[in-house]
Amino acid sequence: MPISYYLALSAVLFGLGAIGFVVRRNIITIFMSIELMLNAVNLAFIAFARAWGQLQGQVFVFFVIVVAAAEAAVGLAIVIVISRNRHSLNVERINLLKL
Amino acid sequence: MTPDMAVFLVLAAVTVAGAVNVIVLRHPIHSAISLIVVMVSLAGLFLTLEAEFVAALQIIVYAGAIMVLFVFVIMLLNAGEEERTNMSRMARYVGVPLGIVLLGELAYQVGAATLSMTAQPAAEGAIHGLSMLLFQDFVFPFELTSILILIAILGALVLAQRREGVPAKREQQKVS
Amino acid sequence: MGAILLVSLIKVAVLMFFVLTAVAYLVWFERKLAAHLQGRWGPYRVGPHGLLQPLADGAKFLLKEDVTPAGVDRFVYYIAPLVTMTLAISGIAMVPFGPAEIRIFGVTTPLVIANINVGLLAIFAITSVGVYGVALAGWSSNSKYSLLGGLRSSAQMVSYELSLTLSVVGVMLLAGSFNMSELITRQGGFSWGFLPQWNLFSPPFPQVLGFVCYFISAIAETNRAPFDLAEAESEIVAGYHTEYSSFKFAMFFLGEYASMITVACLATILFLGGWLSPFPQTANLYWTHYIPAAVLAIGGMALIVDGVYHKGLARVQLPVLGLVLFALSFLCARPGFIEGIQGPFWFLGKILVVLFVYVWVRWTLPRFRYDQLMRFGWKFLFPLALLNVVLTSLAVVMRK
Repeated sequence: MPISYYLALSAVLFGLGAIGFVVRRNIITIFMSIELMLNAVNLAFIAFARAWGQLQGQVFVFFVIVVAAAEAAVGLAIVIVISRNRHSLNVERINLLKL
Repeated sequence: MTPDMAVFLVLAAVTVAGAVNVIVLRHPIHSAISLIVVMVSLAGLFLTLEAEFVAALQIIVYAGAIMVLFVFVIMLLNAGEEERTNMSRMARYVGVPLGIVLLGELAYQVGAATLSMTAQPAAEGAIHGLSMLLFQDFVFPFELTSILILIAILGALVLAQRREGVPAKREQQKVS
Repeated sequence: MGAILLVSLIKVAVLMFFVLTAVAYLVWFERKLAAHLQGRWGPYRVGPHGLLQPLADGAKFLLKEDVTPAGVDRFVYYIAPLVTMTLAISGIAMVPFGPAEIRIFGVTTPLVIANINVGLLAIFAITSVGVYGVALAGWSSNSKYSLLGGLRSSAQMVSYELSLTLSVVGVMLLAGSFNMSELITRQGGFSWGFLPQWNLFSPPFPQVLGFVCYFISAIAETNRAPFDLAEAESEIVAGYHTEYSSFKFAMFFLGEYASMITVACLATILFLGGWLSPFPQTANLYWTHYIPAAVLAIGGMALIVDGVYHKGLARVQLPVLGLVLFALSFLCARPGFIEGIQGPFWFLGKILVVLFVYVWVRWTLPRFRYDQLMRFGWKFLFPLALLNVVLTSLAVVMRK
């Protein structure tokens, strides 16, 4: 099973995540596209860890998952505060520095 | 078509279908469910790459805790469907096909690279090896991530608190 | 390759049949036990001693009208009970029922469907994804009771999952593996010749704290009393499954009882020694190998005698059942069969004890209020589980 197939899948997922980040206007969906990009990168790390027989790739995925958890917690708290103040989840209406 | 290839194709198809659904569906809850499907099938792909512990971790932490957080926030904020706007003619007839072509080209170029698997699976004692690495070579980042999680918990608590003196408004209408 | 696939499919079919029957009769067991605890009879009319009551309930669920409220999100409304029931039943695939290996169609296979190396983690992964069934059901029903109940239930499940997984870390430290069969075999042996070395009484550090913590977290995780505020009738109509009727409600019901069985299986494997016998396997205690046959024989004779006291059809059904059990007891005493039946018999016996305590707790203790529940989970159980991990690792290090 050539590793390059897994890398191609990872590239496609990353591209889809990037497209979602640019195209969507709901802030939570944008957040989910970021998580999709992180998952694509995890797949690439594990594929390389298997290709070269080293386990450092898996350790790095462990750290990526932990950091994604922390980021999701704080990011969603910020989303809650923004929606409480602007009463909207549309990023086109959250474009002023002063509320 | 070896069984390995068949399993990979099925899982890859499910993953790509889920990812497309994340960016195409209009209601955030449907995107969240599609993202959960993507994560579970990615865990399956990790299993085919002999990373069992990371696969279990992906499901327990990512699909079972982080996405639950997303689903809770969507339910609490009563997020509705996104308003549908017509894309400009340029975007619809030129942008989408070009985007598909770009993704296909990317997949082809990356997939055609010749990088094959080596014959040494680290399967026996993979968990043992992983924990040795984590607690000996990477112990400093490991402790740092625990402090990071503590900071994230405190930050989320402080940010989402209601401040004294600000009356809680009843959010009746759907926010979109 | 084809033969192995066929054998796996046969094992899956047999196990699914047994699990679904066990879930149905667990409902009967709970109703009978609850009734006797409350001083009444329980189901008695549908078949002798109410034994056909699960069949009647199943027929009722299938024949009821299927009502879908207006304004629900169709896709999510339909998949939520599916997710709950599927995940609850899949957890049993990782549970080993005995040490022996059986031969079907010339292939020797162990008594477990999926003997994966991270079996314990796989069961916890399935439990943690099971939160979605509850949350999505509550949200998609378009009703305020459902949404509130669903959010509370899923927040409770997520909180108690932490203490659930931490309380078994002590067991993993003692055994050094995640593999379920290995966890059981490391509990073999007897200290001082008579006390089994199950993890509840294990030599370096008895996992009593871990067991208590696990059992309480498991009751909270499966949304059972005294932690069932989010789905209790007197509090919130029915919580997240208010708007579900007929077969979809039956799927939630089945899912809850199936996860009870999974949790009881895990408790037996992790803390009570799985399929190991409580008697030392020495030559002068060989008579203990005849205990399964003896139990079946006594049960058969009790049913035959009881048949005399009934009128009508039960006068025939009960003695026939008793004769079947009696014949099975002879089968269990034959030399080819007696070694194979030891493992599953002790396993099932221990599961029955755990389920008895489960049902007993439900019908004895009053409910927790929701904030008391969350405070208990975060401020008491979680530090207790952490304390167990610290003490067990100290004991393991000092033993070396």
